[in-house]
Amino acid sequence: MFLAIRLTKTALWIAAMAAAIAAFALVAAPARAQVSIDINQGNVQPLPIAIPDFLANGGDPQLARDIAGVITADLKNSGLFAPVDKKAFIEKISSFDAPPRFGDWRIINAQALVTGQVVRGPDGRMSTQFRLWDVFQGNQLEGQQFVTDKNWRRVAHLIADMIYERLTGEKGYFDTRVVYVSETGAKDKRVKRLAIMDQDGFNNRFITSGSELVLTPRFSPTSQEITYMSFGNEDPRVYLLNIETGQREAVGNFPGMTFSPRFSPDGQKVAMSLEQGGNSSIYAMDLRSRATTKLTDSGAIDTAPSYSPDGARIVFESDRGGNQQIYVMGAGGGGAQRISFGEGRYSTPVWSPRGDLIAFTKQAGGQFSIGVMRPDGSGERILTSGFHNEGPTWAPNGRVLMFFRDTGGGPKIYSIDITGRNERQIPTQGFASDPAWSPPLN
Amino acid sequence: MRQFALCGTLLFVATAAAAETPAISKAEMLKINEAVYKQVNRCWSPAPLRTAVGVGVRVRFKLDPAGSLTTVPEPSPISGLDYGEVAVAAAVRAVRQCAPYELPARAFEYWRNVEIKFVTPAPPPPDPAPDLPK
Repeated sequence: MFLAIRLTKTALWIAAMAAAIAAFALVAAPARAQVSIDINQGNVQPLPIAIPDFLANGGDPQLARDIAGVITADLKNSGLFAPVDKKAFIEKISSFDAPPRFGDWRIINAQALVTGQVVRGPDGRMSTQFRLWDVFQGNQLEGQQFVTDKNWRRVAHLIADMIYERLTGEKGYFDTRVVYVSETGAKDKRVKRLAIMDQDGFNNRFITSGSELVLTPRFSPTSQEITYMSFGNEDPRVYLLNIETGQREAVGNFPGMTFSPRFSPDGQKVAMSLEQGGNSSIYAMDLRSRATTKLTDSGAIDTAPSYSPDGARIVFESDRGGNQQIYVMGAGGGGAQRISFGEGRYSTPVWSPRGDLIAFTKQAGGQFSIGVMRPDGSGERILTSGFHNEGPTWAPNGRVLMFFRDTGGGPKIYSIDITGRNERQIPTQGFASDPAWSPPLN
Repeated sequence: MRQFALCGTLLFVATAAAAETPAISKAEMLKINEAVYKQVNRCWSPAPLRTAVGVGVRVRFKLDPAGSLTTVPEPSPISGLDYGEVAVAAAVRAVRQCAPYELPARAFEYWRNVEIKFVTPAPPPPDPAPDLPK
């Protein structure tokens, strides 16, 4: 009996404790709980950014406005930023040194704010200062001063690069140039000249006369030189041209036609194709010793070599398998592996400066497409298709491409980002083909 | 007897607390999660990170009953993902910009602590290559 009572008491105690714990669980859980969610979509609209005209403290007011205008255009053209309409601004920035009234910028939904001024120093030199503000955090993200003498557009591009890098984490590409083949005149009598311009189409100038046909210009990654192919009175040849001095020299002295040149990443070599008996092989020339090395010997047409950014490998196109496909080999030649296996023909492969992707032209189904794939051939993505797209070239940050398109009237240059968005025509003087993007200027 | 007395006290305290803070159901929790998701998602602008893949940041913060922040949003890395200043700034900016949060007052104990993982959108799927005409 005593045992039974003890058991009953124990049972009651356990039951009471269980009830107490259950009751606690009901209310205690919310106190410890938290909302826990994953977000992986977001607002894919460009980031709203406010860029008021820069102040002109002793400087030229028009220059101050123009610098802000170039920064605005660079960021807008990237497709990642949406400059807020100036008419919406509430605060009129009147001091470069005073913090902005962040609340006024939050109301118009600007997420970032750029303020700046152009100042004339005691020595008469102009300088441009800017600040980048995070409107919602209420703090300064960036600030810098540049001496602004002649090339104020470069200063504006440099500022845009700093803003782009601070807000995207990627290097900017605005302070760069593009060399391309300018085409003028009737279709059957086209004059083709090499031209160079800023990446936004400004400061265009011609660097060859048009007396010879020119093709496939490529920038040196380390100097103010380009390499290109030219048809003169003799066999077509690959040349080096110093774009500052205009000095030109042939690359090597080969018996046949040389074409499709490309610098190595250290700027010390040029890889190119040499035509011999209906086939072509890839050679590399050391620009210091002028020694040449034959890199392919397939008895097919091997062309369009492009180095990986570490200089260890070369991607190229070849019809050794029956039609044009993309292959990767060691930079010393040998061991070529085919990496393109889709339907159609692949050509003009170009290795990204970041090393993560190879851009190409693809011809299939009556269309020419610009696409990217990984260096092992996986992850092929077509960025744009139509008739006729060709000749991709990478921005130095490896996130934007230019190419040319001819829909029948004449070729024009376009840019597109690696997600296939933000396709834009680049302004050029006349028709334009074969763009080649420079490395950063500084 | 002492054991019974103790149990009785615990039971009483628990019941009293339960009366003050109503428990919420799983369905309500999901609704609140969805409401927070919608509000923050509107403010998060990963466009500048569009060409970045595999970037993520976890942000924890506390709210008051009016839905306003009571602490500075606290960012931390997510295992296996890149974690950069830009991603942190975008996530913290989103949390701040969206406040105050409009959430049901009766469930305040549930949503007073919030944790959000922001992960950059995946790149668009590969486009199928056009076929050659047969």
